[in-house]
Amino acid sequence: MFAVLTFDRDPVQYQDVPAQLFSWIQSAGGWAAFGVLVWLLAGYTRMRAEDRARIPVWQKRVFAASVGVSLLAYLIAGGAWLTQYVPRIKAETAIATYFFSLIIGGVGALAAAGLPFAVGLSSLRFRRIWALAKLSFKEAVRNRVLYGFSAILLVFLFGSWFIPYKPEYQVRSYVGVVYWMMKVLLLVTAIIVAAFSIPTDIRRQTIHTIVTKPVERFEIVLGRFFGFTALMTLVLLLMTSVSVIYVLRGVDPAAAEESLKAREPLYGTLHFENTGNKEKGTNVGREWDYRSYITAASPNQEPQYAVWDFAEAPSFLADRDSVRCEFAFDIYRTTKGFENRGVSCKFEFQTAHFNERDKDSYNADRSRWLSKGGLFSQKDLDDWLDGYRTRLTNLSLGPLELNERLDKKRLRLIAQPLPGDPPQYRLSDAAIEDELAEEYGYYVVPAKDITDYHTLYIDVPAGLFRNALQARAGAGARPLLQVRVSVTQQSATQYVGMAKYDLYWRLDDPKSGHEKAAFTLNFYKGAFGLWLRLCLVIGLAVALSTYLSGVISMLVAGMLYLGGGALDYIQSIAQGTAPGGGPMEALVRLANRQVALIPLEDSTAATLATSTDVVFRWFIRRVLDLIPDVDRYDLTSYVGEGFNIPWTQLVLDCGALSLYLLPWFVAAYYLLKWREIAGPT
Amino acid sequence: MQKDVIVETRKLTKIYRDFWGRQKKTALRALNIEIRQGEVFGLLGPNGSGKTTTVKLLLGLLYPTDGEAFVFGKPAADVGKNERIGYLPEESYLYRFLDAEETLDFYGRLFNLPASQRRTKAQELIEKVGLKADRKRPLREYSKGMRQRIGLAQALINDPDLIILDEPTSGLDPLGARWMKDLICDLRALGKTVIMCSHRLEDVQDVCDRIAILNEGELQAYGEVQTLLQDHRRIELRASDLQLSDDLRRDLEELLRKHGGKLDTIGHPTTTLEDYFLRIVEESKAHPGRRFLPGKEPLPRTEKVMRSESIAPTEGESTTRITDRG
Repeated sequence: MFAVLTFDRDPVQYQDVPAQLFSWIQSAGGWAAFGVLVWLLAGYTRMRAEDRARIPVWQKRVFAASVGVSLLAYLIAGGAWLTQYVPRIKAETAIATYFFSLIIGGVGALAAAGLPFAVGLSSLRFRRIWALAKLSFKEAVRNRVLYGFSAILLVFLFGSWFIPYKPEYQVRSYVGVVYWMMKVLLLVTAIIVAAFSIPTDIRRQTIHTIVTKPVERFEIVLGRFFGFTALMTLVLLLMTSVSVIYVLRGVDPAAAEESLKAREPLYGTLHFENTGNKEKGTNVGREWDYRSYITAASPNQEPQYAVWDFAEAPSFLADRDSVRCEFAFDIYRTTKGFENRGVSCKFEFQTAHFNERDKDSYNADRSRWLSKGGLFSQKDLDDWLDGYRTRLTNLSLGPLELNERLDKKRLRLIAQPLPGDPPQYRLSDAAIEDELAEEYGYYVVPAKDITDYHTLYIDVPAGLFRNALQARAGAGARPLLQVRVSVTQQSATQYVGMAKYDLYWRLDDPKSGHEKAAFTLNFYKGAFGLWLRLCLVIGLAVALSTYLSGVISMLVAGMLYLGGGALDYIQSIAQGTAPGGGPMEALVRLANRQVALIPLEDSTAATLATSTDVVFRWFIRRVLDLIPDVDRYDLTSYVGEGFNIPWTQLVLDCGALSLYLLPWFVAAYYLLKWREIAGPT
Repeated sequence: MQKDVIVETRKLTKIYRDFWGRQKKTALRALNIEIRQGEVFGLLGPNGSGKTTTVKLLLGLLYPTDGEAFVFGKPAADVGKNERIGYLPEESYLYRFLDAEETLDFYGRLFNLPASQRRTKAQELIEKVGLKADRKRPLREYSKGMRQRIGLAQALINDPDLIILDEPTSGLDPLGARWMKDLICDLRALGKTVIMCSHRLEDVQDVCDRIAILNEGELQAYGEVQTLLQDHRRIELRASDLQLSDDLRRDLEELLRKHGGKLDTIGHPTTTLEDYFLRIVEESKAHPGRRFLPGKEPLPRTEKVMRSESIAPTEGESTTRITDRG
């Protein structure tokens, strides 16, 4: 299997942002409310009267108002939650009220908790943060932290001994190994350096000479964060540059052909026809249900189709000679089939303007014009144009547009006249296919051999796109472009499996010759994903170390990071979808020696266990808010499989990371501010 | 608060507690002091008496359990007050991987000083503390005395109005200690206020205008050094161009008896060991190559260049002789 990009979840898009933002406000707001409550109970009550008197009145008022709004909203949310037990109230109304109340409550709590932080930000000065960042940078460099990174030389020197050298694996293996090595070296170093910096400063009392200067304590946190991030960025840049040379140097041509590129895919949406379920094809019993399967028509079965709909296509595709459609399918064989032959599939490409009734006419035209051997007489062209005029007339176009289209086509057909009398015109097969695709909005590859998990392609005439992008008169609600795949009778007993992201149009031009450069850029983009993870662990470790000791900060930051790797599993426990249930249910199962997949018998113990697990799941969901979504920043598979990392993804990942780190930094602000820097001695 | 009062504490109290909030130790109890502009103020006390705690409370490194501390009229926790403060901790806790210039540049940045000012100030201070030759060496290679000097330089980088020195002469040799004391006096002459904590009572006596003595976290004595140390029951008389003789003693006893007093002691005053030591070192600098030899005059006052000679001490001879090597 190579050059196949699979997604456990859909790639992030701008339209997902509001939902994610609301979810963030709810969870961060919940934590903020908890923090405010703890402070009101444990902090404010113990505060000395003279210290209370020093808080500006406007701050007190804004704080009280925010807390009031938040409290009210949470009370409403609680009431809405309780209404699920009241049958007379509509569930939708209750859910909407609950959802919006949580958001408003979250905003209020965030405002209350973030107010002193926001006010404190105005006292920060860049020059001081810069000085502290530079200090952190120098400290790490002069303490010879960088020596550890020379371990990557082991990969460059001896990696080829151990990395599988099958050509089709080469790029993926090399990319995987160098990213893994960089990840381990950089993350481990970053977490150690960041976790120990502030605690060491406090232990050695070097911080005393800093906080007795006009330095805001949060500037120390920011200085440390930026200093270590800058250092790690430089190291990452250097390592990435060396790594990309290492990967590019001696890569096998076959591997380069498959993966040494950065494809820019245009994905569509997938549905199935004649499978009994629009969402799914036939289930062949594979455990991983990522792909659905289709098979050919049989006496009591209509042919099954996998259909990709493309609602939009950029107009520049119409300016090319051809547009590449790439795909990689899984094959499930029920018979051995033919030796050394793939499974034959039919690919039909059609636009919203295509009329099903024209299929025969298209096939007739296609065989007629292709049989001309590339030479056309004036009469042939006139016949062609007459046929075209008839079809255009059916479209009820205005006379101006009709004539314009006919004129353009005529000019294209007579573009290559041959000398002699009577006049003859040359038209290549590709040009004929292109003209027909534009004329009908249809293109077909009747039989294409598919090999298991190999990326294959069809260069579709760009005429199809010119047709698709014409004014949408009469197109109705049909999608702009459709790709219909079916298994031919030749391979009647075989199944072909496909998922949404298995077929796509290439937005980049595969014939441009810039593939190596695109791969290199993509390699750096992949490293950006690692950079984001570096920022994550540095931010976490520095924030934690404002209160915890170095070792504990390092362990907690490491645990959170590793927890992020197992986020999906933790989520399944939190949502109660993990087989075997929560800990109490698992305990009951252990005691009764019941396997995880069988439902529990009705008993008091079982009811007690499952009810306890509901409470447990609530706690796990709160803990889940603290765990970073580490996998979203892992872009290695894009680079290894040769797919371009979209800029959208990088921008949104940056945003997601900022939102994750922000509450940690706010917590760090308070923890360091309230902390007594000096001890009893 | 009076106009010239720079530091004021009102019932300043610090109680250390453990994680569960249980009281562990009362480090400072209801301290009330005022420190005025332009004076050198000494905080004295045995170990654990609360003097460093007081300094840390004034600097905002610790927060008071009760009472208040004001520096320049602002609460001690206010970061803004640090603009006018210079602080030299007991151990000069600086970053050992930096050299002297980098150290001063770093602390200068923390005061938001522009680059040109930082450079000028750093050069000036490095010369002032006598580290010009070692300015490019990392601080980890510095001796304790040198670290104390660079520590003082960083405390002065912002030209502070209040300088807080925690054990400024600890770890310094007598020359360094004298240099430090001279510098404190210079700062006073410039109108700066200095607070110093010290174990070395003679240092405090030498430079401080006023002192506070703490014990077990409580203020025991507080006031001007001269007033506190003055023994009103006795009178000291110094005279010169006189020979000690029985006649003189008798006359003086008679005179004092006439005024209702009595003579306790009469004799030649001694100099302090510090003064004697400093004089020896100064003169040895003036006479390079001169070395200690037993049996010679202690300190020849002439500039005469003498040939080097090695004289073994003779039996019973107790005086020392100094000779110059040509």
